[in-house]
Amino acid sequence: MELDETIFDRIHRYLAGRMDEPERQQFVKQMELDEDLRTEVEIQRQIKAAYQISRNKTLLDEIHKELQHQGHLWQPPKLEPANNQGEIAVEPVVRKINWGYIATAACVVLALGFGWYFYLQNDNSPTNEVTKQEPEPNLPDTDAVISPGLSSPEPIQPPAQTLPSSQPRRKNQADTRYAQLFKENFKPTVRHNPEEPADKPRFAAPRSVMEARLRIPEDTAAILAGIQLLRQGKIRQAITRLQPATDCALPDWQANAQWFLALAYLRNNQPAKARPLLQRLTAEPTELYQSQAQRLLTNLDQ
Amino acid sequence: MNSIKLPSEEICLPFQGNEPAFYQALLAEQRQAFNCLYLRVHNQFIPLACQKGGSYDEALDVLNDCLAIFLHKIRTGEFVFQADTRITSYLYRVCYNQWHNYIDKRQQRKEVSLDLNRPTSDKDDNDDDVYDDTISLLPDEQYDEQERLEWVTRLKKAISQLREDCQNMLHWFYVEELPLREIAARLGMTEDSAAVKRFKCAKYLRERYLKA
Repeated sequence: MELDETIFDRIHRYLAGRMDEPERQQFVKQMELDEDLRTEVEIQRQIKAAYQISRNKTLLDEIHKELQHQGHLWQPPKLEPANNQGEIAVEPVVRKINWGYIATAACVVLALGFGWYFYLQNDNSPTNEVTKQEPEPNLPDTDAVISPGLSSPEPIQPPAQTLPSSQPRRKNQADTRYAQLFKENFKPTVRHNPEEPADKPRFAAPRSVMEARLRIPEDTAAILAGIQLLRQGKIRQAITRLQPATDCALPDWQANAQWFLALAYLRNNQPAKARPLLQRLTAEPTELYQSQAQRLLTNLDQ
Repeated sequence: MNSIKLPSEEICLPFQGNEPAFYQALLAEQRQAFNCLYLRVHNQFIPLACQKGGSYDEALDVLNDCLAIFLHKIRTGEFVFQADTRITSYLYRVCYNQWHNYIDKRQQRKEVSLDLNRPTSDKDDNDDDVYDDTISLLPDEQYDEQERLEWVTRLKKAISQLREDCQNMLHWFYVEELPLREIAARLGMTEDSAAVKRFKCAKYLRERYLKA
């Protein structure tokens, strides 16, 4: 059954209880006979319920703030040393300042600061490399490469030929196979669909939408950091960074996070975790990684 | 558990000892009834959850989810008041159920932790003491909160893929339940055009919702 305007309108009049009794009875009878109509009513019922539950959550947030402000709500006790006698501790109004302690603390802070500074000067650590500006790579025409700022296309380095030698190779033979699949599929480029214009910023959107959108820069940074960590062979760290971004508000970003997380799982010898992500990507409407995910799933099944 | 002095005398005064009046006020969506409900369940459930190893924020999320669903059930008539029950006690059990679920999931997440050096059987000190045996769980047929929360998650994903005008249109339609005439006036279009637009947006949302 193709959903048309008339059916849509009838379903909503039924759900809102705006049908008169004969019409309602006729509609119920029609539902009993027509499975497609029943399904459609259920889908619309779910969407309507989800909308109203979200609205209620916003209302309850307001109520919480109001009651908390009035001091009516229970608060978790603050962690303070127990006073068995039930006496109220009295703090001196003016404390004697112990300059000796302050001087020692200052020396320690300075020493740590200098140590950290010199460490950073000499450090070639991957954490710093994540934020470095890197040269323009040769990229396939079909892939759009973007920067953490989202606005201007900026490069991410091409894949390292080998993983750093500091990463110990696993003894497990299966791992070698997954590592090979990872190597074949990993290209440190973020894809997005340039034909799909980005949404305008919304100032009147429901709170949940605003919250999801406010997380986009964080998700972008997580995806890019995840890719760099994968390049450096820091697979577990990459997994940790990429996981939250798989629910990004931008579908393209979601697809990127899912793809790289799947590769990370594979590289970490966890094909069972990679598989559902790849399956989601094959059904992805953005089609960014659809064919690669399908190919990889086929390889995994062999 | 710490003894809690409920400051509900004032806020809940009109409903004190009168559950049917409380239910009627909730049905009529009276703000004072909502405040009273929130206050009672919050001060009953949150201390228990915190005492049993949950954080305040985690417990608050669970409470918020359960209350939001409960208010929806009242509105749609899915929750029907029974003379011998207390609404707060029922909700307390629902929250406890949901919290039980949440803790189970948290436990599962720990078991598949990425920290491979840690034996999977390891548990935090608090994990053995998270449940309260004195509270019985609701039977499955009375408990569908988890399913409804999944609808909300899917809807959020679907909405985020809509354009602003569609988001507004559907918010007015599904949440505010504005008549088409008023929606058309807000958009500066005829009712017929508004009906077409509403249908297109709803259809697009439906597709995204099913894929989410």
